[in-house]
Amino acid sequence: MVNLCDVEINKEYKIVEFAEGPFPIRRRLYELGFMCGRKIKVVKKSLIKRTILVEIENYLLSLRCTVAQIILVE
Amino acid sequence: MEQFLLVGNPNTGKTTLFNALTKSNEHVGNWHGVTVSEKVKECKLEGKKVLIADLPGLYSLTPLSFEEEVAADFIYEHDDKIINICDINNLKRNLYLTLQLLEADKEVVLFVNTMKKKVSKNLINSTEKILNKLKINYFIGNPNNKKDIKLFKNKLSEKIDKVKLNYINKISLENNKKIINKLNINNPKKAEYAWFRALEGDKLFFERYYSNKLNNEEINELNNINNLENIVKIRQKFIDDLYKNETANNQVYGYSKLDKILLNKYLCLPIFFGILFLIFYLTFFSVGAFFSDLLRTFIQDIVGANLVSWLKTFVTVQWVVDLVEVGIIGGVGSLLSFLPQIILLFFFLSLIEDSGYLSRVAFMFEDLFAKVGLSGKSVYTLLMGFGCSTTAALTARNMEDKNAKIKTALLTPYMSCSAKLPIYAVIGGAFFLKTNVLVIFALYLLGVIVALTLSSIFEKTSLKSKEQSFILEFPEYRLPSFKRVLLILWDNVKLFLVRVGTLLVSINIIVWVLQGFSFKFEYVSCVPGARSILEVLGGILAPLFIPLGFGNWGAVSALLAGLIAKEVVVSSIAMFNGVDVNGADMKAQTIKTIATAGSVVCFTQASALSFMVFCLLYSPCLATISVFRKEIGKKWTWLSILIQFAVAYVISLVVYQSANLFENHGILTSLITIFAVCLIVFCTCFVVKKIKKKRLCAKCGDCKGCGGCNLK
Repeated sequence: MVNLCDVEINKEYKIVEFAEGPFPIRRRLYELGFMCGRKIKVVKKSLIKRTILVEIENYLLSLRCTVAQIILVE
Repeated sequence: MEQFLLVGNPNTGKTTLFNALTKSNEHVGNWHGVTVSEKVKECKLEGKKVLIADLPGLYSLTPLSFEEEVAADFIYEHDDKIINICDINNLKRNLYLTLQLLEADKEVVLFVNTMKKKVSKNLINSTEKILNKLKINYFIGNPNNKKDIKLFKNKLSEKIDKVKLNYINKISLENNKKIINKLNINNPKKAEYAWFRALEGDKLFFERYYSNKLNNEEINELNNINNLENIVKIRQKFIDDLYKNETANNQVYGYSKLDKILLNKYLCLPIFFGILFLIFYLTFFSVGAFFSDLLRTFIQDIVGANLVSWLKTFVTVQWVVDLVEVGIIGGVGSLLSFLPQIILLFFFLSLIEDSGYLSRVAFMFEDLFAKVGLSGKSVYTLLMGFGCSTTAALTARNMEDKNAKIKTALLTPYMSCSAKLPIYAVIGGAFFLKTNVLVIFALYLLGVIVALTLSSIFEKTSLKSKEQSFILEFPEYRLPSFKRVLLILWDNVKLFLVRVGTLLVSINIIVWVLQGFSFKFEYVSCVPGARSILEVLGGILAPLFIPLGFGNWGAVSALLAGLIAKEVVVSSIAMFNGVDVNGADMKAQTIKTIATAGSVVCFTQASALSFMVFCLLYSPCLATISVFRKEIGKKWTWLSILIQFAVAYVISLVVYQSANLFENHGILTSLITIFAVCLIVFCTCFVVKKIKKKRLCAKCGDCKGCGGCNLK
C-alpha cells in the first residue's frame, strides 16, 4: 500500500484505504469519485512533485500532495 | 410563478443552458467560480412563463467554498423543481449530486449535455440505458442547438416523475437521531434534507440554519466519519449497480495529446512565457499601440480641437477653456487611448480561459504558489493584474479561503498594470534608450518577486490560509467560441469602463484643478508667481524623497497625482515641465526635458530608476483601493496602503543608493558596501527569528521536536 503522491506515473492503481485527514477534504474526495475499489492513475506530476494530475473515472483532476497523501492505493 | 433551479457540477454548461432558455447573455466561463451568485430570469414555455434560476456550480449539497454555499442554500430554501445538468462524458460523477437531490425528495429532471455537436451513438445508448434504470426524467442534448432547446422546453412542461431510491429506508442514523429529533423541523422535506446533512457531517449547515436550536457540542458531534462512509458506500454501490452491464467508456475526458506538449516538464514554462511575451508584444507594441494612437488622435485632434475652437468663440475666461481642453478632453483622451490595450489584454485572457489552457497554467504554478500561501486559482487574478488592477481585484472574490482572497487581492497591484507602462516608457526611455526594454522587463520581474516575497511573509504571520484543497478539474481543450469570448470580453470591458473609466475622467479634472489653482483660487498660469495647490503639497512632502533621489516638488506631486490614477503621472510631469500635453510629440518632448538638468522635474539615471521602482511598488490607483475596501474590508485596505508605501520606499531607497554607488564609486566599493548591508540585515532577521520562536512555542523549546504544536 502506498499513498497517491508516491506512485509511479501512468500505472493503474486501485484505491484501498483513506488515511487520516481533515473531514471536509475526505468528504470532497468521496464526492469527486475517490472511493475504495475505484481505479486511479497518476498522469503527471508537477516540477517539484507537490501537485499531481490524476485520472479517475475517466476524467482529469489535479490535486495537491497534501490532499493526495490521504489516498492509499495498491 | 413556477421556478426551476439550474443545478449541476461546475463547467457542465449551466450558464449556457440558462442563456439559451432565457435568451440572455450571462458570462459563460471555463474557470471555476465564474457564476458567483444566483441569477433569475424569465423563460417562456409553451403558453406560460416560468422563472429559471442559474446557480453556481457545486459538486455536492455539502458546500466547500463560498459560491457552493450560495447554491446549496438556495436549493435548501426553495422547494422548486430542479433542472440537473450533467456532462455526458462525466456522468458517473455527476450522478452523485443527482442522488443527493433525489434523497432530498426534490423533483429533478436531468439535462445531459453532450458538450459537442456530435457524440458517439454508443455513448448515447449506454447513457440512455443507465438513466432508464434510474427511472428519472431526462433529456440528452446540446444547449447550443436550437432544436434541442425547443424539445427540452416541451419536456419541462410535462409532469416530473418522482424517483424513489430503494436504499433510503436502509440507512440507520442512531448517533444523530436525538439531534434531529431535537430540531423538530415541521416541514418533512426540510427534515429529510437536514437528516442527510447530518449524515454527511455538514457542520456549517447546522451552524447557518439551526444554531439557535443546537449547541456547539452537538454540532461537533456531527463530524462522524462512520456515518459519512456509510452513506458514501451506499451511494457508490447504487451508482455502480446502474453501470453494471455497461461497457467502460475508454476515452478519458480532458486528456489530450496537446497536454503532453503543454505540460511537458521542460517545455511548459518556456511555452507559457512565450505566449505571455507574444500577448504583451501584441497589446503594447503592435496592434494595441496602433489603435491607441488612433483613438488619441481622434479625440484630441479632431473632436477636441474643434470643440475648443468653438468654445473660444464665446467663452473668454481662460480657465474654463483650459478645463475643457486639458481637464475634460485630455482626461477622456487618455482613458480612450488606454482602452485598446485593456480590451486586447482582456481578449487574450478570455482566450486562455475559454480554451481550457488556464487550468493548465494553474497546475504549472501551483507548487510555487503553494509555497507562498496562494493557490493556483489565483493565477487568473494575477494575470489580469497586468492589465488593470481594479478589474483583477474584482475577480479575487472567487477565492475559497478568505485569507487567500485577501492575499491575492493585495498582490494584484504588484503585477505592474498597463497604466504604469507609459511611466516606464517615458522616464526610462530618457536614460536607457535602447536597453529600456530590458529595464522594463526587470521592473515587471521585480514586481512579481516582491509580490511572492510579501505573500510568503503574510503566510507566515497573519494571513495563514487554512489548508486549501486545490482540487481543480481539467476541462477538455476547446476552440474558443467567438460568441463566448465576446461575452467575457464585454463583461470585463463594461466593468472597467464603469468602475475605472468614470473615476479616471473625474480624477483627471480634479488633478487639473489642483495643479491649476493656488490655495487662493487664483488660476496659476494667469497669475505669475502663484503656486498651485499640488505644487505646495508636493513641496511639503518633497524632502522625504531626497534619499530616493527625486526630492523635488514636481516628481512628488506627480506621485501624489498618481496615487489617484497612474495615467496622470506622465502628463503631470509634462505639465510641470511646460510641455504641451495635447501636442503630438508630448512623450518625446517630456523625455527631452527630464533629461536636462534645468527643468522643473529632472532625473539622473539613478533617480530615474528609483522613481520607476517607486511607481511600480507604491499604492495602486483609487479605483483599485475602492475595490479593496469592498472586497477585503477597511482594516486590510489601510494596512495594504501602509505596507505598499513602506516597501516602495525601502526598495526605492536601496535601488537609488546602489545605483548611485555604481555610478560614482565603481564596482568594487559598491559590492563591498552592498555585502556589508546584507550582512547587517541578515543578522537582524536571524535575531528576530530566534525571538519569535521563543514566543510561538510555549510548550516546548524547539518547534521541530514537539508534536503538540499546531503552528508549523
